[in-house]
Amino acid sequence: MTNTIPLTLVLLLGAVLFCLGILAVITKRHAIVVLMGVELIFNAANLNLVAFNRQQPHLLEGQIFSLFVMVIAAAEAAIALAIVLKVYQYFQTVNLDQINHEDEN
Amino acid sequence: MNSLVLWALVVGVLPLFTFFILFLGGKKLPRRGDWLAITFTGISFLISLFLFLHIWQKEVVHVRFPWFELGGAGNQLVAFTSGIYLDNLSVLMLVIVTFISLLVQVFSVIYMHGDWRYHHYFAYLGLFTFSMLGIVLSDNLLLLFIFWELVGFSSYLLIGFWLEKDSATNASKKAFLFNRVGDIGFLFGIFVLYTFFGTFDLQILKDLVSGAIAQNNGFIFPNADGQTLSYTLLTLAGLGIFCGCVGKSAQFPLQVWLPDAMEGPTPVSSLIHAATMVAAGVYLLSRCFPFFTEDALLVIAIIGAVTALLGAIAACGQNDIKKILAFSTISQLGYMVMGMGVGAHDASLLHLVTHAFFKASLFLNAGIVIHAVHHAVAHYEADEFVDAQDIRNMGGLRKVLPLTFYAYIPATAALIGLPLFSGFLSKDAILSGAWAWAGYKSMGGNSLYYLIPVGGFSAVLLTAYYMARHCFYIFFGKNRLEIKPADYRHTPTKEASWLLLVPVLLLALFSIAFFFSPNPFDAGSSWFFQGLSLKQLLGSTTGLTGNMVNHITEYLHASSFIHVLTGIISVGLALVGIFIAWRNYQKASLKTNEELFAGQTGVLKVAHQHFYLNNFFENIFIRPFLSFSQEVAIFDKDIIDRSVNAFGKMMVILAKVIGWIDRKLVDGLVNFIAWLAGLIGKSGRLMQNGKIQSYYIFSLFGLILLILYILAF
Repeated sequence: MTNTIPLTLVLLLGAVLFCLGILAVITKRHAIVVLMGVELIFNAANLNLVAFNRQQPHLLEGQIFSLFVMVIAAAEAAIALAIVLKVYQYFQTVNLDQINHEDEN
Repeated sequence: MNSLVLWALVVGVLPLFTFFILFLGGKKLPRRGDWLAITFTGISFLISLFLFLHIWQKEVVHVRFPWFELGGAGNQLVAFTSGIYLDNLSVLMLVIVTFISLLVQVFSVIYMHGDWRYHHYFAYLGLFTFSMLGIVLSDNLLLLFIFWELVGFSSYLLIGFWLEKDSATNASKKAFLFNRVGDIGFLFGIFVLYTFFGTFDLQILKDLVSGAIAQNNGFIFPNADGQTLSYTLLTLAGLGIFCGCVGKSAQFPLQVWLPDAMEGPTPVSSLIHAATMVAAGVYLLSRCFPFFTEDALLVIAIIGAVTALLGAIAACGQNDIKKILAFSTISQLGYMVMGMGVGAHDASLLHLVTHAFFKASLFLNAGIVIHAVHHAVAHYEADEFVDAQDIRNMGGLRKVLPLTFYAYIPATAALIGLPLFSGFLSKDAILSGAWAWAGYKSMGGNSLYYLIPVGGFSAVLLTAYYMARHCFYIFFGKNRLEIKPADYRHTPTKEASWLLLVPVLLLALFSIAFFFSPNPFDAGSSWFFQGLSLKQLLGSTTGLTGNMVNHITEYLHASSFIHVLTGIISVGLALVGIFIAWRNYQKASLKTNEELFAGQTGVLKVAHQHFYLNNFFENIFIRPFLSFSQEVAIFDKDIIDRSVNAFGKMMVILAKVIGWIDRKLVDGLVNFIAWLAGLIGKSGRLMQNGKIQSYYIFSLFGLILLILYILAF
């Protein structure tokens, strides 16, 4: 366990992932791509959880918590994709710019 | 309440009803409602007679009603009353006013027939009668003043009744304005009495004044809390009240309105001169007699004597039948006022009564004569205008109008003061009263007081002259127009309608002395005389003159020669006057028409012009006043109007400046705030663009800020 990646680099990777996720959420027009950005943010958080687990390696609290997050994120993704599907049926588009009640009238 | 008072109210109110009914709806009534006016006045007259029989020498009825309340000193309400006062004088006046008004209205049925404002005429007569009855019935000075003004107003309506004639409207304005001048003095007198005694009620005033004790330059009033008042102010107050009389009763120097008032219809002149208007002044003097000081009475006597003399002189120069009678009225009123001034209170009132009858008769007769001459002139193809009122156009009417002649002669005789006629009684009483007064007053050694009775006696001579003169011109000799007698007549057999003749004959009958006194040579035996004496009217109270009147009466009784001598002298003077008139008439009847109509010269011209009094007023008061008002008008236009305009312009400029400030500053501020609110709203709206991602950015931005905040602190 001596050749480990320094914690700073891991946290930096998490931050980069988080920023990329945010960037995707903010800039992308496609709803599913936005959801993918959200997944990136989840993963950035999971990376942080796993990285901070080094402080107490024998407990594996970070790994287990990240597993929970993944499961819940999967459920969340299922619901979100279902919503996107419904939105598509209703608006005939998944472009976030066009999904707007005001435009409907 | 005493039922007599109710009856008195009915007497007063009936003519007022006449006025309202005829004025508002007279046009639609059959015969334009003249029967209604005559019936109502007739009822008034009958009730007046009834009142007369109950009140005369029997009782005095006085009822007060609460009128209004005013705040006085010390926040206390002062209650004013009005009321009806019935004593000998008021019931006598009621009978005379209603009787003469009734006869005048009957006369007017024919005289005013066919006039386009016939119903208005009777309505105005009703208002006139009502106002005069109001003066007679009211028990306080304020109410009396109101009716006084109403008399002035209704006389204005009647004098100017023929409003299409300029001269008539001018005469009515003149009468109204001259009366106003007198009324200012009257108001002043009322104010002074009210200020001193705190009441308008004549009876209370009389009681307060009673027993006044003269004391160096003032009076002490034991009945009015023993207060002391200045003699001068009380004299001025009395003269103020007398001013009202000067205006209404046409005394010098305000008498000029009366001759002009002849422009009204002749029956109106008869009413004004006999019973209603001019009598009001003498009535007022009688009612206010207790408030006159000796000096005030002296002024009244002088003014009366001057008026009697001036009126008589002016009458000598007139040729218009109505003008002659008008000036004789002025002169006779002068007698009455002089009688009041010399304390011959009863004689003066008796003269008022007798004069009312014979003057009404004379005027109505003059109306018949003018009517007849007018009628005749219409047939007569004259080259030039013939004045139907000029006595020089008449003559010989005795044969044409015999009944009128027989009615005219007793009335003329009464006015001259021949024995056996009513005028003799009253005029004689006034003259002997004046003589006794002069005798009493000059006991101090100053015989100038005798000028007053001398003036009175001179007026007797002149009165006889002018009355006889115009009688000769009208009724004697031959007809100077050379018109057939038939043309004068109403029908070939009758000289005039009975409706015209009956009132005239009735009034002429009352010119005979027996109706007033069983002894036609002694006014003292008259049944009216005792009832009208000061003692009778004042009761136990005395006036400011104290016992002066009693002293004069005693003086008169003590020197009984005065009475006999007055009678002899006045009859002698009257006969001389008639004789001079006859001689002048003889001379004049030889003249041709051209000579007769030639202008007058000397004294007669001055008399004809009424001593140029009209010119005097014109030059001294009216012209300067008019030019002054023109100056004022110029001042008004040039200075006041201009400054008002400048001020107006300034205001416009100021308003424009304020408008600019309003628009730019106030409105600008409001607009700026609105614009700011709009801007904030717009920018706020920008954030809510409905795009989920922008909300996300904002919330992220907020999150970052929050984190930074937490990290910083």
